Amino acid sequence: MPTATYIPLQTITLSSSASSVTFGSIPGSYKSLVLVANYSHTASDVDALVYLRFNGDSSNGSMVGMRGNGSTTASYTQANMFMSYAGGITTTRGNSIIQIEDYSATDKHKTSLVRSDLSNLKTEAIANRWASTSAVTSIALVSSAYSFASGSTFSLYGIAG
Amino acid sequence: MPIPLGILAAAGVRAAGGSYEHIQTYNVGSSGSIASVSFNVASYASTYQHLQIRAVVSAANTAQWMNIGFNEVTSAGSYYSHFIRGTGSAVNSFASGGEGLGAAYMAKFSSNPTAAVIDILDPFEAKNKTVRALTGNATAETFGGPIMLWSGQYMSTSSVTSVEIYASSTTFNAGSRISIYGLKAS
Repeated sequence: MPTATYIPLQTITLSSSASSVTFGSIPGSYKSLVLVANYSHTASDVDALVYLRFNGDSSNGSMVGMRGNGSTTASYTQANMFMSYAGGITTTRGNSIIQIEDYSATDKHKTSLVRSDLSNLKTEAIANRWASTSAVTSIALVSSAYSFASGSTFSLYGIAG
Repeated sequence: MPIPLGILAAAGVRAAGGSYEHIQTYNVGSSGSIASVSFNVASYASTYQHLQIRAVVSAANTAQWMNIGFNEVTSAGSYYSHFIRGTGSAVNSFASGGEGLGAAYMAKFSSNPTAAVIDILDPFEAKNKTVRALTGNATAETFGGPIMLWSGQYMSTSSVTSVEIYASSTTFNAGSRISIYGLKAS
């Protein structure tokens, strides 16, 4: 019997700028998480990026990504996880959607898929890996420079499976 | 307001109550691996407008495809697809046509699986069926696409009655999970 899912867990709307956003106390009762971010930054910086961190861990991440910026393409790897990596940040509003599959499993590392689109900078796709068999109980988005601007929204959804 | 559809969610708004439903999940258990799963969706033609596959998979052999097919059709020329992949050092693009749609490129690390979110659009309408996906694994492979965006088409106007997910030239490892969801029209 099909069951309704795609449950909103939490939405964070910034009433003032913030350098990071954290979803905590994530229940382990779903199969997938989807994080939808609609945001801008307080300044533009071609070298800045947004880290993705699970359970506050900044040591056990890696990624493979690719992006197009309207004139060139690039693919890259990093020893960290990201919501947005190449192309920088901007004061123009952009969006990212992060899919985290089997986030509460304790027999595997966690693979997450990201689409990030900043219309005046790039379109980007990333596969992240968190090399931990711990269940994900918190998700943090950390801007490497400047802050997420007031009015930015971040929503977390749980999908049963 | 459009219903969020996997990676295509334009604004990520909440799905209207009951419009996104979990239909079925296959879990590959520790007792053995499997080569394919099949979802019977014939009874859902009047219920859902779109379908979505969410999967976390690894394979017995590395650098193998997770394929998607419909109505058990495997004849040549039934499917066409394009994809863009990032290998960690290069971006390239490919097109293919054949007996199935290669949806995700799998590594063989059960502890570090490949994730896939696959949207099947209008599967029950009298039109060729379009499929699109974001798939990836952060483990760089010698050959293949750790991060991929792809789109495909099933060249048939018949209603989809079954969705097959199969491991090409290999089997899915224990710990793999493949789920199917339905999205209702507004």
